[in-house]
Amino acid sequence: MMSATLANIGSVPRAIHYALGDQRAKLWGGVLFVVAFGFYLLVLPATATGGAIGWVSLRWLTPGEAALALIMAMLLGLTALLGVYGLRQGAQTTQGKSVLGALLAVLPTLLCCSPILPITLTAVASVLPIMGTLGLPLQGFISTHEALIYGVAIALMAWGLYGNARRALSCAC
Amino acid sequence: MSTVLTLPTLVRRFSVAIALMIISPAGALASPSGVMGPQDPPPVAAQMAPAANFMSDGKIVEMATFKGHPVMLWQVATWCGSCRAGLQIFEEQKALVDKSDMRIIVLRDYKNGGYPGISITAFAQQAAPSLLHDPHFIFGDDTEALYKLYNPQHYVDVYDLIGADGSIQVVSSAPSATFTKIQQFMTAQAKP
Repeated sequence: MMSATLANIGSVPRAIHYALGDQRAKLWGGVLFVVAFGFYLLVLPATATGGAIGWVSLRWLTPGEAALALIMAMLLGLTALLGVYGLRQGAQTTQGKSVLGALLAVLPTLLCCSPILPITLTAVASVLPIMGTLGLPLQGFISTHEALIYGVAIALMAWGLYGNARRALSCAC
Repeated sequence: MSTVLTLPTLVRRFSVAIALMIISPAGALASPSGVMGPQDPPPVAAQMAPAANFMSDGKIVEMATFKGHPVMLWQVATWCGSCRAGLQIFEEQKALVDKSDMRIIVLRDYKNGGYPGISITAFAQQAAPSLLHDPHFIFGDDTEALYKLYNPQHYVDVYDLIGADGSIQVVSSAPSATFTKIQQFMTAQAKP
């Protein structure tokens, strides 16, 4: 069972190797990697600026966040590489998990300390009063569980990558 | 029943997924910049800081105690990352604050903003320990009345800059991103 799992995981580098031979897939993957890396470098440290993004957030970038940005951008870039390659080989690819992971990764920045959640829940509370009491505890939870949220985001992206690798390999005849 | 997808459909779907991947971080860019309170609040020049009190070192302290000094009333939660970064900015800029007449009152939100966390003293000790011994900085806890008066929207990291005459001149948030505003206020309030 264990060896079967390892063999399955081993299919990812093999699929990447095949996909790197496809110019268009390489282009898509490269572009997405660069764009995602830039965005994550700016977005991840914004938890220290209350959601302000740009040079102001870059000043607060830590080595850990830079590493996270690199990992997530690589996962997205590779998923795109395999996705385009798979499509060109006639496979049906899915990006659901990767998109979910990418969304989850920006959750702490968006919701931890910015006014988005209080404003949204205040608006909802005008219709449903109980919602008015949820905003701050939710922000507190997100803020104190950032590592877990990033972990889940990376796991989802890795799962998406693995799925695309399998599909790409099944068609690489 | 199975649906046969043509290559153009697949390419279109894939492009949408890729766009979503890119847009999802970009969505964060659309989040308000440098605000955890109102970004462009209406002019508050005529609004006087309401009377209120807070707890510091186990004692009740009246806001009126600081009349005659420019004051920054800053409400934070001790689980908040931008609040921690804000304290670090103040530690970096301590010399500037020490040269001014400004008093910076850092208060833990009432009930810590609804989520448990360490005390304000422990928070300052972790983030910017030198500020605990600086007479320009006062650390304490919101009373419910002060929280309702100065932070009715329940923002996590929000501050009021109150002039020496007791008027509220600026309401903003996240000093880590908006320190320039505080610096400008300090300069404007400097005694000739």
